[in-house]
Amino acid sequence: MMIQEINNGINEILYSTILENGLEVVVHPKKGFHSKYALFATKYGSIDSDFIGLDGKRHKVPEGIAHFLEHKVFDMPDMDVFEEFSKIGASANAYTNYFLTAYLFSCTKNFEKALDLLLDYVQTPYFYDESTEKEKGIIEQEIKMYDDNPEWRVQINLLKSLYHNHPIKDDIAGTVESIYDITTEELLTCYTTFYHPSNMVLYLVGDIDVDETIAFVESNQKKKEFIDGREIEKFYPDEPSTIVKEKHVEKMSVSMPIITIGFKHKLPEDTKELLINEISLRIALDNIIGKSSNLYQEIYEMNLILDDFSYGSSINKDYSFTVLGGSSPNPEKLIDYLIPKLKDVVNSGIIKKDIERTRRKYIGQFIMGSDSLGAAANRYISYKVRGMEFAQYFDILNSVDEETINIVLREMMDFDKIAISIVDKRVAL
Amino acid sequence: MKKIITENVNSGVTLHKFMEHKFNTLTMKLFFIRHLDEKATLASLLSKVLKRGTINNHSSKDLKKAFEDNYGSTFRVNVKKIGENHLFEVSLYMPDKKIIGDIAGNDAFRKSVNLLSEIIFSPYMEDGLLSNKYVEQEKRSLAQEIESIFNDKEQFALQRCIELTCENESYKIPSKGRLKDIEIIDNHCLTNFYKDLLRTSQIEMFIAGDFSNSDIEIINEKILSKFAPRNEHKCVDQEIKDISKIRIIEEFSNVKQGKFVMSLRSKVNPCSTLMPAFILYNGILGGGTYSKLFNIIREKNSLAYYVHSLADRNKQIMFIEAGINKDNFNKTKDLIDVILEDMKNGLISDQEMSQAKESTINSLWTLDDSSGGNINYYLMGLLCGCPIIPSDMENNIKEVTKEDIIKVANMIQTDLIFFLSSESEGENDDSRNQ
Repeated sequence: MMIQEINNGINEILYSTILENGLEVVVHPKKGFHSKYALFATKYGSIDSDFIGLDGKRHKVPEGIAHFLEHKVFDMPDMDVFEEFSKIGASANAYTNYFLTAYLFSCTKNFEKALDLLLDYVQTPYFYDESTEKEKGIIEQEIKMYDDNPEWRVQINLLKSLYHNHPIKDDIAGTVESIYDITTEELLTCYTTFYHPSNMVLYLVGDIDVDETIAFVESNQKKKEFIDGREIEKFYPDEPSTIVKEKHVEKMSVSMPIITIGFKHKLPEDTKELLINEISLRIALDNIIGKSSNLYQEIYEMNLILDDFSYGSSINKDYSFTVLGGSSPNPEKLIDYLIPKLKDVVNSGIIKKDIERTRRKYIGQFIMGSDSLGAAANRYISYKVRGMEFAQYFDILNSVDEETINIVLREMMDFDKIAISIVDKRVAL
Repeated sequence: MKKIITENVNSGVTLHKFMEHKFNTLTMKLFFIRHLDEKATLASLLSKVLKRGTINNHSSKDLKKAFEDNYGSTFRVNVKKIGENHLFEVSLYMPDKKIIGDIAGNDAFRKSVNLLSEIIFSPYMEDGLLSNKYVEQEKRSLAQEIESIFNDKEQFALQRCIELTCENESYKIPSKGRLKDIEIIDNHCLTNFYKDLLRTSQIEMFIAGDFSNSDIEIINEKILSKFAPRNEHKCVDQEIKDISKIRIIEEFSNVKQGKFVMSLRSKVNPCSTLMPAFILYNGILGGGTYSKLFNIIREKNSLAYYVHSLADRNKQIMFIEAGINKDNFNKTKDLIDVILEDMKNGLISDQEMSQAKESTINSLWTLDDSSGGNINYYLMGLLCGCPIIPSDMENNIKEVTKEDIIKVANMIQTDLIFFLSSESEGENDDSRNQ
């Protein structure tokens, strides 16, 4: 068995290997920490609802099924999984996003017991109609909880304005209607396809021994049989490069309007570009609209934003966008003022001195962020699933140059592909 | 963490040193401690104004850039409330020397402490006063921030429940302050408040991570030695309110899901030997996925997605929160009442006991893996006169018996139920609910 050593850039080595059944295991030793953290993720998120299963047939399943499945994977024939984790003092959880579903625990003792439990419950399908039906009430409440969240609404509306067809425009949890359509059989089809070990990654971090831990996972996996895995073919609808509509306003009772401005990016030709694009854009945007930028200070002093104003990019091979936004006492005036100013700074570009300062800032943040085991695991997996090699992160952060940063910035921030989403209690805008 | 070294720098001025080699972050936090009172709004506003600039960095933009240049170190100025204490916090985080190297690291440390000192002692002033422009801009921004809590309906419902439950107690004042106090503030009174804060508040400073003696000397020289002696903050015992009748208050807003918040009073003093049992009581009631609330309200009855309990042990108050359909209010309330009664009657399984213990001990050790977590935990005890580090709490938790929990359960009384629900009848379609 080959174990690959990955230096994360700050003198920590990650050990990665692929087991016989295709499961990738990454062990990240952190000396002196009491906590141990495990993340078991499948490359399967809310956007993957049209695919050819391991049965060789094409399936189109209801919106929200990946998230629904996440709830139901916790069911076991002879035990309550949460209870078992609690008994050994481990704290378990799970989440689903657009591109992955992850199961995790953290503990300070009984690591091997907890790890066995994690691998066993995720790898034991146990679905039946009564349980499927019962879950619908809980998920309905989860969806309604988000419906009352204006930040979530403004984001969903923005994605629906940027994307015509791509499922990124749909709510991760689906809709109250779509989840009531989900059947036990469909859950099983998705499970069999996407929870195959060859489609999954296990990340283990804490004060743990590399060889012992890998051997432990291997012996757990050897007890289980899986059908042969293969590359899963996923289908996404054709997505025009244009936006759907320029502006969406939703009426919702809020103390102050919330606004997001989205830029739909050009898609990269090669996945190798993803990480360079992400880091370049992060450095550039921080200079343009981050809290130490001239423009941020101006719009803050003009009372066009509050200090919750922030920005972020989601860089993926099939969908890619940047969002800026936050609360605004006057969203119309903010748009009128901000967009031409943004255009000016994007055109004039970022200068070397500012790039170096921002680079130093992100290096510092990277170092400080490494104290969180959970963040280390989630960051690695999130890059991995999207086809990026996290090992290169620190190198690229250190080396990406002024020219690249400015080219990426101009390419991504296309002012013909902007959509605006506002949540406000006033309707006519 | 093995131990804390506490150094009394001056009367009312203390430095707590948490030496820990494993972190890649060095954390410093300085707390000015005051009783929570009507001046909370001044403190909250000041925390925003101090971020706007210093004597050498006249704008927040320049100040932020100075930190960014210094290996991405970051600072925060904010206020928080623990029990009836209002804390004004200035904190700083920087990457550890073992990663950026000793020479660069020592230089960065000195710069960081200088910047921290500037923020505390030399804010940007004009004619001896905090800048009028910054004060006015931050007044507006604070008002908007206070109003924006309405956007987060769960937070909003919790805040309303606190206001109604504690209508005659200073605990009703939110940590960010009150809208009605903002208007009359000007830069004169804010400057006076700032000077008073520096002169009279008790100071508790913490450093956590890998640091040397010379680092401590720098902190003493640049920061702590500048504080004159002052009175120690007194720990005040909570007055225990007797509840004759449980109040139920419903308010309406445009929500799709009703927000249920119940307040409960506890007679367990934060320094009493029953405190560990109180922590476990909260755990068994609604502290996690093993809890009674989670299992009965969510798993068995599918009434809610989120349901949990939380406690402010310093204030001796607890809250139960749940997001439910409005038509399920009575059912939810009745089930919660039964759970609370069951706990009084000792209907607590051995498994619930052991799960609560294991889970609590796990969170204590997890706190020990975060420098900020350790500091906050220690501070919570310090404020009521019984500081303890998370790892020392482990034994106390292990020794708790079921009888202790029953004692605690009988010291808890429901006070008020607040329900934020939708305005129109029949807006929620319940036909699909289990």
